[in-house]
Amino acid sequence: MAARSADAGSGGARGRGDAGMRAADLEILDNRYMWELVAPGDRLFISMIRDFVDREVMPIRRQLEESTRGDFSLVREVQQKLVRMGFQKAFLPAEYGGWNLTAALTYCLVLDEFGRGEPACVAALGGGAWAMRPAVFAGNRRVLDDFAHRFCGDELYVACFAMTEPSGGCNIENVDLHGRGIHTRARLEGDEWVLDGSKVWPTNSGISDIYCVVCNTDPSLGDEGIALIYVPVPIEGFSFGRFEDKAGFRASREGDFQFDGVRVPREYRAAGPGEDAELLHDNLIFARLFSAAWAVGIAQGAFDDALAFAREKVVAGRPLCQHSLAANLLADMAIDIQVGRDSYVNAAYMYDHPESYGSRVSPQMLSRSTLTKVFCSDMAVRVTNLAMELMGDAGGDASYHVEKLWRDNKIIQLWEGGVQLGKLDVARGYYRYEQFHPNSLYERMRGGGSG
Amino acid sequence: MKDQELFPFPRGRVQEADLSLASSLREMMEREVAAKRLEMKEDYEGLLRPALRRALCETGLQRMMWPQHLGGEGHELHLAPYTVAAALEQLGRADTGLAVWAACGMSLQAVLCGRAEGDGLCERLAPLFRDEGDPLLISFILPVYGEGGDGALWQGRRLQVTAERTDKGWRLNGKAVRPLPGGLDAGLFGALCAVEGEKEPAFLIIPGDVQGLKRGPRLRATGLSACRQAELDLDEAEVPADACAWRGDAETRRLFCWYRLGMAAAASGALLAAHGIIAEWGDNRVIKGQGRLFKNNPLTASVMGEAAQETAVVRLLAYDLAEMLAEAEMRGEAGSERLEAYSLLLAHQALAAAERVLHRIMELMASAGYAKEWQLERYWRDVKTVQCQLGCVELARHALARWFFGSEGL
Repeated sequence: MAARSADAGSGGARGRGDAGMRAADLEILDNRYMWELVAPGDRLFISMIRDFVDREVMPIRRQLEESTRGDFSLVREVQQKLVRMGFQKAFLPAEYGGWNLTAALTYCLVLDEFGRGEPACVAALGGGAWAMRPAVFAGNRRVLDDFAHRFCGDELYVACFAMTEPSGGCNIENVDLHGRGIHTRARLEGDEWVLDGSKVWPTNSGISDIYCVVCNTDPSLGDEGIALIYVPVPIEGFSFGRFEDKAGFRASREGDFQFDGVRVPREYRAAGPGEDAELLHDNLIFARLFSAAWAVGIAQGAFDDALAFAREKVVAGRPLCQHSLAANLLADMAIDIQVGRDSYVNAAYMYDHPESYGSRVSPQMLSRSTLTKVFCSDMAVRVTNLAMELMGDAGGDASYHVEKLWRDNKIIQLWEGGVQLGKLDVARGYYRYEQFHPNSLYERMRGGGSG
Repeated sequence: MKDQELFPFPRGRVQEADLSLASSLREMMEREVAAKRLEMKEDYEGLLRPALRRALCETGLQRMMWPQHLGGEGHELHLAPYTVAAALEQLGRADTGLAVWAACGMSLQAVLCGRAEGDGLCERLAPLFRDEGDPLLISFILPVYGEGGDGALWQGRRLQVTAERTDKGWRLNGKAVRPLPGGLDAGLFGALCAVEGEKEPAFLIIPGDVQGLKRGPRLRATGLSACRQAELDLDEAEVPADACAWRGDAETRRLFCWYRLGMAAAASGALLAAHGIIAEWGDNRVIKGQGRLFKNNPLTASVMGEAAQETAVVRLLAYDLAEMLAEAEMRGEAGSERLEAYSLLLAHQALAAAERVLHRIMELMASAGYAKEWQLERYWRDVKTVQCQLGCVELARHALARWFFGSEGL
């Protein structure tokens, strides 16, 4: 079968080029321009990840998902290999033993690679890097002194960035709420923060060793009340509910947990009033960038599999890919993927160069990162749909990988505020949009009055 | 509010009995399936089989079109499309896979019972259809997309099984055959077979327990967990001479029309279920920390409105197709190319719209829509699977171009 033979060989036709580009790749659009935008050390890391995905992930990507119906041991095996090759420490400062790969573009290119293979299996490690960013960027020595060495060791050490709460799906991501939608409370008692509240759906919940929790010290303070507080577990007052059973992205684990009077040292707050809000928004902008890249990788994987299928499948005496109809569909996919990749590369490059493109935490940057996330995740929905359509009834067949990528991608479109809120954030880059702008229509609708 | 008030369709010749059947099926399925949906996946044999038995045997759907003298209900063929639409919509609302199983059974009933020639085969098959103890699950072995091996082609697609005439009947062979909707549990197969030395294929009825038929392990698919898939190998399997249900394209086209009616009704049912899910979400979910209900937010309300719009249209498409089939049966146009083209068009349109709506509703519900707990994701996967099983959309467009514009050589 097409997808199986792609697995067994070179990993299928791929859309990116590098110094080690294989002859088979020469017929594919050259994407070496991206190479010029990342530092040499980062290039090496990205190459290592690409090889790792081809060698260690592609041959077992279906089994990885299957293993999630059991004990996740295969997923953990892959993650442990990634730890040994340095993934876990790559994004931490050199003084703690890390590799200091802090560029968003590098992180994006890495997730693009995992996207085409098995997108979810990297979440345990990628989520860790995301959760530790606030402490790294705030230069929180206490948190880094206490925990960074764990990430730089040889054993898997998992972190979770916990945002979403039961009371409101995307209240936390909504900048117009200025923290008022955050119900997890943190109060200072002596030299300790005391946390109460609950979170749902954060990636890596239930398997993490440390949580970076988005909470509120006082809703009346607006952004000043937003706090990011690190909570290592096990700890008294922390209880985990159950893992979510979901449509796809199954190698990543999500669940709900509760804090009931959890106490941590005062220094475990990432920075302080106002600064934590900025770190939260920065992390959200960063997340939308890497989500875009993840989705592009997924679309690339679907394209690769659809192309392999269309090369092998003979219709009316010719390979399917030689029919103008199929060529058009494949071109539609390729156009979407290339535009998506260009879009996230641009946005991530701008994010990495505030000296040229302005603050990383600005309505413009929020807009830019969200624009690429919304576009790329929508695009990957389109591309995976098209790939399934091109493959006919084989499209829904789990012997191929396209249907899995179709399922996996959807959650990327849904998370970090989803589609609707995302579009509002895009609008913020073009004019001063305020969701709760008090005009008369809004007041009438809110009050349900007749006015 | 009742479905007919929310999403009305022209009543036409829909009988009160059809609406009453739909109503009791809805109640039965809510009790038997909806309430147990999450466990069902884990315990197929234990939970789904009884639900299927109740849905197909106890309600009489399994023998609905079968002649009364053979133990059937003798439902008139020109009225049956409405009954199929009404019943399968309610089955699809509970579980798309149930509707798909029922669609296969009812399609075969419709074509077998509508044949002009003698009913020796019907007599032989009648006991299976009127069995009240066990649901008869029927899968079709249809031509597949693309070529490969030495298989003969039918309308550019490869016939999966070859049949050879013998003194006693037919000898069948085929490797890695893919029946739809599922090969693992089907008790009867209907296969369009290439006939050795002859140009015209034959549609043969193959019992699931025939010697020489070997089922492979379960294959996973995106959705339709009720229809467990497996490949079959047919190795010199022998069936009697009267296993040939028909020759020629007209009856095959008629089968496709009925099958597509079932798919469109299943899509409509999935959307009615999704409507219930998002309505509950909209009534109870409070967003933005402002104390406003989800359905009162202008942005989300707009998407909910879009979902309702498409749901109403899909329902109209399903009943439109029922009416076309009913009219065709009355006017003796069954199996016409015209009707086949329209059934293809309407079924693809219904499935595409259903898939779009389920995507949109999932976007509204975000992670809850993606979690199995809220059950929306099941319809999302199931509808996509049905869409894939209908065949490549682009090739369907070619078929439409052939009908509407006389395009040749596609």
